[in-house]
Amino acid sequence: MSEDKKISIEEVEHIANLARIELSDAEKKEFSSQLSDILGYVEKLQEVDTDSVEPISQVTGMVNVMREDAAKDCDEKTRKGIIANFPEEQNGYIKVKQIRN
Amino acid sequence: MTLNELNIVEANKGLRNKDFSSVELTKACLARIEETDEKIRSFITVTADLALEQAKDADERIEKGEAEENLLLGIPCSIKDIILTKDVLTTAASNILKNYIPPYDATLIKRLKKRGMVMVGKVNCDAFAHGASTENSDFFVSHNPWDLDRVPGGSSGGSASSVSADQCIYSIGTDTGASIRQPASFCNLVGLKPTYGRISRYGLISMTSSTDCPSIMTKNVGDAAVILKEIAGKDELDSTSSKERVDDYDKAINEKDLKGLKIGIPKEYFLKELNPDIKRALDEAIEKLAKLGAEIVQISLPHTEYAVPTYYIITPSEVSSNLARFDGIRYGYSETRDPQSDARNLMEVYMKSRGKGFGKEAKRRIMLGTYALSSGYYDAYYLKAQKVRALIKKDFDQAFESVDAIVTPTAPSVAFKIGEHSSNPLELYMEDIFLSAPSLAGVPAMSIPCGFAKPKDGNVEMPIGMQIIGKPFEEKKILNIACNFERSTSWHERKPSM
Repeated sequence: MSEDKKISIEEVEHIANLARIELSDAEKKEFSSQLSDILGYVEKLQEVDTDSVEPISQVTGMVNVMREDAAKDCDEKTRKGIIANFPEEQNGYIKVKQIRN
Repeated sequence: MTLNELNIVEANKGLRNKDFSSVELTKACLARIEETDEKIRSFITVTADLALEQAKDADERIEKGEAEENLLLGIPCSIKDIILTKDVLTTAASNILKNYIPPYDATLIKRLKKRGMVMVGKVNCDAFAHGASTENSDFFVSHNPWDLDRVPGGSSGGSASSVSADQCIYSIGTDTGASIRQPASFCNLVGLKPTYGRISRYGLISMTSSTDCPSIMTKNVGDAAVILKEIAGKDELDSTSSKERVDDYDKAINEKDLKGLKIGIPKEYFLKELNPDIKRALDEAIEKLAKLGAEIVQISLPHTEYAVPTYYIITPSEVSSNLARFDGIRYGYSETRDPQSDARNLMEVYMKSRGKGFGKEAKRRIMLGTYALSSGYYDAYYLKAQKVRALIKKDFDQAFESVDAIVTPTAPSVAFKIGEHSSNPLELYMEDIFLSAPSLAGVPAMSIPCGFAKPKDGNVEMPIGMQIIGKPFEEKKILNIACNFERSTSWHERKPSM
């Protein structure tokens, strides 16, 4: 493989930061190599002439499937089940760390 | 034949005739799991007590005569661990959810419960359904009952191994780009991916929202038709679910023969590089379809070679969005659960929870997607892929103007050995080569058994599957074709010698 990786280690760090994932140095190196390979492969799409093609993001053809903007109540057991999954809670609220130092 | 070796229709007959009870049927499956799962490793969670409770309830309903019209009543199944089951551990085979207990059921689970399902357990898959072998499961690899050194396929590998080993009668999995069809072909089963929107996605742990399809794994075609009828249909909780009428699939499969049907064979799926064993099996299968009265038509799906690269931009992009919810705040693995943690603020909770909780492939896909969607790259990657996707869909629309269904191989080879591809992610992506395009186009597709071959690196004859692709919402037609084929062959009757 070429020395000049498509995705450098610095870019891996940048993407990992955007994706909010902490990577080890070994992972950064591995991903730089693997992501470069994968991106090299998908470059193939550049061969396709898509100048007059409209992109599609879903195949159902449906639009504006709406519902009433009304809150539906939740039964107590379900509510407790949801709260039971919180890593940290206080009085039924999720507890989170401070946003800044 | 032991009770667990039956299929749905046979089991229902036995229950109606009072040959055995649902409890006995369930016990047979649980015994089989006990006897074989140490070697096969289908199950992440075996729900024996729950299953017996459900079986007991089912027996009461059978007593009242309900099994006459309800074929799923009291029939034991496994559920891929990417589908939420209320109060039962659901992990997506990922460490980040290894202790997650959902407070609600997926819609398809609700519908199955209403019809008296018996769930023997939650089965293994590649973590978050990212993979083609279960080698990306954060917990363990599942084994192919036909040859334990080989993978059962993926991502619904546990669904395939559990049904193929007769640990249960059927399984519900998912298929986003290959994940029910490929394992079905590796394990000699029927794997049905319906039209996108045919079955509600509510309660699926989302992977690629625009291609995810709850899917069906069974021992034969008739069973798949029975299940589809029960779980298909509009769901208010899934805005992409379709209002299209749910057909009587179980009756439809016996209605017609193949005379007058046009079956398209796309040349791009039968290149000279195609594995000769796969080619031989498909050629014979196509000949059989012709003998049964179908007209075989050569067609072209010109953008086939772009399906995998398109899929591997769109999928990671949507994955990067869908997996953002696993941030250590509301559920799942969290840095804050660790008393030794040195996370000082919210950002570090995110970074460390996700860094430690996700497996390699999940991280890879999130990173790829983040890159493809990021400023400066969005047009070249994601937007481009969405345009090529439109062309891939158009290929199918145009083909279906002249044929009723399309037949292709399911997988480029028989099941490969555990470890063979796991060090190269790209190699695993190429497994999807015949399967990504129908997913991107949202069309229904199923794999059925069509032969066997002994691979060069093994001693056991391994199953080969044939893919039948249909027009949107024409599951009736592809099930009918599959049923006619199955009736005149006996591939599906072979069982692994365990």
